[in-house]
Amino acid sequence: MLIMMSIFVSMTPLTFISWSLTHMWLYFCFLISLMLIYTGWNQWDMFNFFLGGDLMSFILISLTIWISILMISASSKIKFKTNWSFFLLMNLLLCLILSVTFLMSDLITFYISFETALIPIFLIVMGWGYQPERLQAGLYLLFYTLFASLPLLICILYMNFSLKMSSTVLLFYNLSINFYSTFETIVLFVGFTLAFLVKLPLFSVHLWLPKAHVEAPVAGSMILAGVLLKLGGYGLLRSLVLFKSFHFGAYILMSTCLFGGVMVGLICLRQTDTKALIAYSSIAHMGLVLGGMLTFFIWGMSGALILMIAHGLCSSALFCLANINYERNHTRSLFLSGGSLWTLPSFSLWWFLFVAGNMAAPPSMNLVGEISIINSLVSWAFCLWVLIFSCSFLAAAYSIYLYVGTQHGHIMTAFKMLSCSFNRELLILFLHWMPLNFFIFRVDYLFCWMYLSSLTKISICGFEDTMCLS
Amino acid sequence: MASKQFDATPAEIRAAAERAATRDKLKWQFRQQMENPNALKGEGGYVFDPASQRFLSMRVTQFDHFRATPKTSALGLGLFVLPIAFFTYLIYREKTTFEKKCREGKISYKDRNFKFA
Repeated sequence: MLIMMSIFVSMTPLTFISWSLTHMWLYFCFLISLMLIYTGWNQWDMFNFFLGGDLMSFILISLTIWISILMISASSKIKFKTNWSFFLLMNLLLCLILSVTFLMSDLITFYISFETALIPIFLIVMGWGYQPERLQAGLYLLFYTLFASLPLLICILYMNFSLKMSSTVLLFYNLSINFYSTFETIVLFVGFTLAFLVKLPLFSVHLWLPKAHVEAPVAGSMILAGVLLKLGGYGLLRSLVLFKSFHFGAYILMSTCLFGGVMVGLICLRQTDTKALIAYSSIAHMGLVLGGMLTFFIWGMSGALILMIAHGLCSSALFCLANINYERNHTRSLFLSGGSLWTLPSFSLWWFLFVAGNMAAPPSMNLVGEISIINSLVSWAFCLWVLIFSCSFLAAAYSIYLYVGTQHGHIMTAFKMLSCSFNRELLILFLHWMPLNFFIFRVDYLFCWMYLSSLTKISICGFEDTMCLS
Repeated sequence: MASKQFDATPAEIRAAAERAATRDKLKWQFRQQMENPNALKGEGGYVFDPASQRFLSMRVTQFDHFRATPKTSALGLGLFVLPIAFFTYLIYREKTTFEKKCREGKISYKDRNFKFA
């Protein structure tokens, strides 16, 4: 593991030397990260006193490095600008900081790396975004996250000094923590979860996401949708178990996230901007992820992890496709972009495959995640079927609307140029599609992080509807 | 236009000629931008249309013109806060009813569905 970190860090000088060497070095790092998954699938692996992880951490690190590789490939136009080395450096730093965040076993250092990840993404959005609106988008991204994470810092310090608990490993072993009063429970619940809910994002604190995703360059959009939202999901998967007995908080969050999914699905249907539509669809999917987590069932939590990974690949690919259209048409508008089935037929296949994945059509991993989450939601509270049905139906509706808006219809006669596809772009899309659709054959692996780990015994016993492995 | 129009009044002929002149002028402006040999080739893009741009800018800046009035506040309350509160109540009622029945022994272990989720 330390070898991997040193390999990572040694890449930094390469960013000033060569674009392609850095790219190849990242592929090598990805292969090493796969070895972590192979060794750490049924236990918590500690590399030293503060770095370690279980299967969930390692899978998310692999996803981070994979998305970093693909986002560097997708940003090839930046190679011709003078500041390309600084751009590469920002991407690599972000990849490194995110990997370290997923590995932190101490809450305080986790918080530090969680906040540090904001700096490179802020610089990427501000430095390489396309419109002047990126200034406001960067500020929204920064201040929403910072405002919500200050209570998180206070709660972590309180847990450390008063409740004598400062480990992410032991967060699942919550039997030793007795909250003194309901007021303390509520304050700690809000403080702990708010930062991750803003990052996820939850429906009512989601305003930063459409702005940041739309104004970011393609690399920024890919890493935001692919990994940064999953930081919030990762934090929630680790820390929500502390508040398992605070049922009322779960009820409020559950209805907010699922109703938010429905509202956001309706908002998607009247979008005119391609990237904004994909950004809002991310909010709907993350609402389902949060719903799965709040049930505290095995299917719910594992389904949440599966949907997070599947969404990371699918959404990142959709942003890539939107950028492919944008590079040729210089517009993100659905009204002006129609007819790509005739102008860019090679990409129509990929548009269809990823739009189908977005609506959880088989054989994508999204299907497995949504089935698991829907099963756990319906078994948790049957009255949620209305919201779940609406979420799924609207997901299909806006996905088809996106496909029809970009591919069908007349080609705009005012377009100045028709251009061909590049092999690089087709490769990026294939590398998104392959893990998304072939992982379904081994998706039981992703159920392992809860099912076979010894943490299962602690996390699921005591809840009346779950099985106790004793 | 044909030199002789047998079934049109002079006013209609003049109107048709004006429309044709406007159309030709607009078409000439469009062709000038589309087929300009001095413009950068290979850049892509489209001929700028002010009407489309005005529509897109309107959609993007809608929130900048938002004002909190009794009507908009009631809309926000009715469409967001009340449904969330309603669903929270529904979940609370279902969960507490089930919990109460389990504790009173009214539901046997074999009848509890989804035990192993």
